Amino acid sequence: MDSTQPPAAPPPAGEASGSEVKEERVWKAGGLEPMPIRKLPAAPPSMHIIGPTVFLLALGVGMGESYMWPRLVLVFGPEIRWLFLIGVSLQAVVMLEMARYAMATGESIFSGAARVFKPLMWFFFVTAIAVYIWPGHLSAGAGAFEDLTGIPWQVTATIGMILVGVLFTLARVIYDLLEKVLGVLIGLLVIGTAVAAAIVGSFADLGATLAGMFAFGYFPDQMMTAAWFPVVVGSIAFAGPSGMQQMWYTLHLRESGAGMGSHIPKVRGLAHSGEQEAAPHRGFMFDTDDPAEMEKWRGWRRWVTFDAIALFWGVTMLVTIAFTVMAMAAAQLQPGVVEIIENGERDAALPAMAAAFGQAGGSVMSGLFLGFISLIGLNATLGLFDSFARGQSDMTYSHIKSSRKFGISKLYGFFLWGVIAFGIVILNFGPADGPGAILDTLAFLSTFAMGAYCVTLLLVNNRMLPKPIRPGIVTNLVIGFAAVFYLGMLFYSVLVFGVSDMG
Amino acid sequence: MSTVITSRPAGLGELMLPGAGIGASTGLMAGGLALVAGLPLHLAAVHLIMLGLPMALFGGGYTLLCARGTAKPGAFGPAAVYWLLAFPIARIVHEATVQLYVVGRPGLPEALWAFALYNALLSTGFAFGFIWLHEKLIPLWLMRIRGHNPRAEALLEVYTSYASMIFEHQQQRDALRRARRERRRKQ
Repeated sequence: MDSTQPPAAPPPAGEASGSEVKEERVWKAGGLEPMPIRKLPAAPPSMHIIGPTVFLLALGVGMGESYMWPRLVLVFGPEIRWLFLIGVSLQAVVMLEMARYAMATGESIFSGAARVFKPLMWFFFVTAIAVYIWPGHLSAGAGAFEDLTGIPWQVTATIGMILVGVLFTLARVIYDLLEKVLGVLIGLLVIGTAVAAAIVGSFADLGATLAGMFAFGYFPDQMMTAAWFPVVVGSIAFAGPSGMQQMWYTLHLRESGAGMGSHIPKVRGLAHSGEQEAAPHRGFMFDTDDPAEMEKWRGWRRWVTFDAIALFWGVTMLVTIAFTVMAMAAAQLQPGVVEIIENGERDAALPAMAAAFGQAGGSVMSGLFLGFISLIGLNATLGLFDSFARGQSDMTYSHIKSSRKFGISKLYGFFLWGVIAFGIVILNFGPADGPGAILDTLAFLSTFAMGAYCVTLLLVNNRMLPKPIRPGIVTNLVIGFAAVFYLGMLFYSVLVFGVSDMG
Repeated sequence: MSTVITSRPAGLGELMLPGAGIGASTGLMAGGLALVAGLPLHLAAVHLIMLGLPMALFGGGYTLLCARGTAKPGAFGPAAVYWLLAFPIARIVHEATVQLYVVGRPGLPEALWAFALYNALLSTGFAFGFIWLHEKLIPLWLMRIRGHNPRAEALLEVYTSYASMIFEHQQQRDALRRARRERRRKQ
């Protein structure tokens, strides 16, 4: 292992000091403080039910699965779903690579980016604020709830934001609470979509949906138009987690105690900030020359692979198949639905799709559709606020020295209540999606961040990790392909069609 | 301190609650959403009961299978097989009884085999969600009732020993893998 003996890093708060530290072995990665070598904990059994993937599912199983893909299936037929298969599979590989750095070091991918080139991390810091501070993402779920109950969506969204803030403030350990809540909500979502699809769909719909996943190469001419090309590209990019959601997953993985994350204390709610343990501002590395440590590492890789394939890939597929079956059932009973969906803007098309469901299968179908959109919105809200506050506080704490006196818990609380307060003001008095003049820029940034994190991943995992645990050539090729795909399609769409909004 | 439950039905009934609750939630989903969507109260109630009841029985039955040791705790395979049969049956009962209520005579869905096959395929998704929630809820429930329900105590023991067994199995597998690697290195 390419680690060094002294000069050792200065001891961070709460760690051993004195002569012990002088002998400490470290792993030098980039220009930042080296990572001390520590023991890698033993990996749990690879088969498990609940893990940090619930956060990725809560964030990722959203508009793409419930609305964008069913819409594409209605317009182009179920054969289009092979592109979804590619999109989700690509995201599963990205997830595994995000996990590689986080589990090996206990650092977030943001810190990995800072080790490569600090401005790269600040780019993600600014992008997160620019893209995620606007509360527009709440509009779909709260809007669906308004359609269901008649309660104005601004009221639901405002109350929802305050409740989320209070919940996270009072929690002793935010991650533990959120994992439990999201675990139940995702479970209900999976059960609910299966039951809904059972009630409204048919064997033929399911058969066509499944067969469509393997219609590789199906690419109708209509897709290469200004109206549909950006939508198709956006749907592939947003199949599963989109924007910066994969980057935040590294924080949840660390918080769950996966790999070297076990050496980093968990973030406590603001009300319990007095109990917050001093957190190191850089991660740790394990001894990759030690075969026993490498064996444990392989155990962790098996654990996260199960997460990526069975939980993330599997649940995403299940939910989207169920929604597609519902959409196809609606279209068969009411052929006019295709026209409504085809012509509708996103905001207008959601109620249109619900109405179409209603016309096709009665008010039960409309209610089912809106109910699930509300549930998905609730999941996303819980996950998004936590992720945003977690990401921003991690970058601030780790890379702005003067902020450390506040502690990670207070910084988390600051960003959480900051985004909530801003959200409430904007929801009630301003443009929820952001100012109209910069909407295109925000949409561009969201997709651009995905290409950028693929490039970041390649740099971080191949330059900042010891050789024995770096990714293989195939993995690098897949991540490289993802970078070219996200960035290439985005620029192609902007340059050829002049459209940067992929939604 | 609570009284120890000695009655067999009461003990089993209490034990079944997590699985039965998850099963019943499907009825709540169907009935609740039907109500919100504007169906008359009585029809929403019929959906709730006619789907919720068989699913609650099957859900509770699965917990009992875990207690008997027939289904391994935390394993997806047995749950998938169980719901492959149970889910289509519950759906056929649901369809038939709703029809009985609406038109006055029970009726099976058209193309019964396709209907059953379709629901059997979807049951995998349902089983996934079921086992996900079941494994999350049952240890909490068992710890809550173990003091007065000997069956719960026994099932909790099964869960604990299963977790230890999995861990030991993993350790053994890792040791074997290490030994194989060592041998290869020496060769």
